[in-house]
Amino acid sequence: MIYLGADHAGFKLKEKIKQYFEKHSISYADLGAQDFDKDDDYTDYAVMVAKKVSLEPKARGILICGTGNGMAMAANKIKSVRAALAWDVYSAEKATEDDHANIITLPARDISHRRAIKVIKAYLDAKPSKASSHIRRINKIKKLEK
Amino acid sequence: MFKSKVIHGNKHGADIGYPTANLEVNDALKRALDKYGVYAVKVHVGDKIYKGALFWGKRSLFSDPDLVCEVLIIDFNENVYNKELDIDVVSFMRNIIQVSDESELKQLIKNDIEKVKNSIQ
Repeated sequence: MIYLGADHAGFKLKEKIKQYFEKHSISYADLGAQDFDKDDDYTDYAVMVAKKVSLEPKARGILICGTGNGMAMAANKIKSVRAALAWDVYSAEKATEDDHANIITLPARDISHRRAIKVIKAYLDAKPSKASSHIRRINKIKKLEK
Repeated sequence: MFKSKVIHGNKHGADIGYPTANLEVNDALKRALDKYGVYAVKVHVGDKIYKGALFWGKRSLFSDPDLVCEVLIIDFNENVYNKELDIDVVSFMRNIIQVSDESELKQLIKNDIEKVKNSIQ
């Protein structure tokens, strides 16, 4: 399952991403915002998505705000979440391959929906690296959560 | 990196044989282009990526007081009005140069295109 979350800055892009998922029969759950609210807080959606992802090992999350930074910061406070900012195909692939990111965050103010969809596709299609160096680093992050 | 919508311009570029896409000046554009001048860029149109020469500033030849941002997309001839383009800024190429006539401007643009072709793989 892919969980989606966006604040006011990312709301329009989230709706475009949903259209893409529906067109390609990709399962997703939209955890909000359900309606555009110019005063909402990214933190609320980040936590909702991150909690879902933390409970389901195979789940992925996509969080969208203006820069993607606030969403990443908030999501990374939830245990077992590795949220990575992705802005192009390379950063998205690496988020999966090297860092086993279970959430990516997108900067809605800087990328078009076309680019966002390429980024998401790259993130979802990439395979997590099994290289010992990558696993070792991820395990060090896991240790920080204890 | 920034996104911007293609808007209608005054077609100065097309008049001198170098049509450009005029870009809406938004915050993302202003953040990405930190000084006025000409940049080598990559322009994402649909699934393709084109090389481009991007101008940001006030045109020196035409009596146009507004700041403009326009991109000459190399080897490209499609209608992109109202489309949102993703632009990757590769490098700053030069400052704005004061030109006195159209032929001088055309020569500058020609040089810019060559520089872009050589600077982007």
